[in-house]
Amino acid sequence: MQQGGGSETEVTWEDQQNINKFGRLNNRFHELEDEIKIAKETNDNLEDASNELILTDEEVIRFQIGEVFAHVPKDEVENRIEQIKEVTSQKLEKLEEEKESVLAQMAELKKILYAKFNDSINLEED
Amino acid sequence: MNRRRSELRNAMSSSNLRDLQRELENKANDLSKLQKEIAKNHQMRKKYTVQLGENELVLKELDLLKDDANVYKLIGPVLVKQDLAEANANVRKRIEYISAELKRLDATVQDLEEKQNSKKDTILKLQQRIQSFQAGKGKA
Repeated sequence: MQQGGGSETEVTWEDQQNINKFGRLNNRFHELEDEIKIAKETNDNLEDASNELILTDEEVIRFQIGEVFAHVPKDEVENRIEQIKEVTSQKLEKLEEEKESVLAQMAELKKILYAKFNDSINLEED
Repeated sequence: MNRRRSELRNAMSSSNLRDLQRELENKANDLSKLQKEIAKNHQMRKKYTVQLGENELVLKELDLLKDDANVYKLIGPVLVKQDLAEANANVRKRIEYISAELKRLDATVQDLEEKQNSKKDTILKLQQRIQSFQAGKGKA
């Protein structure tokens, strides 16, 4: 965060807590963005895998379990992929909700801090 | 009268100095942005170089295979059978694309580095002007 060129304003303990909270929320926001990106990629990969299974003629599929590939019947693989997709979608939904909540809290803190410090504080990112 | 004149001169010179310092600050910020951009480009270049190496290795392996060999592609958690010719074509296309991207990135980095050098020169000249200004003020 950069420093503004405004006049001196006394920073109270409460202000410091708000600034610290804003910093923590900002870090969490970036973590969430990364997690959301990964979850979306996982979902896309699972969707692609589902489509490929529809097109394939093989009845036994090599399915990844941990570090190894096991021969699993096609029907079971389809079920497993659907289950994983469901779990990932739910996780993605939760992450999106948390992101919205974090953004709302940050906006509220911005309002409070800018009201007091004007241009003596900069809460924007480069 | 003389005192008024010298006060006026001092006020003007300090105003000029402030302007120079502000300009220096702006130029330094611009330079910092350029450096971040260059670092980002270098990072991307590194990533693409690694990918290019991997794909070239895959192509070498594919060239060693017989026509009836089984080739699989990992999609999500599933290994799907793929046609050898199709796999070959895909890898070649990817190599082509990555090479083009690397060329583009090289050009971008070169351009950014030229801009960076010219910015550094400008900043150096500004710093010299400020120093000579301050030295002149000190004598006065």
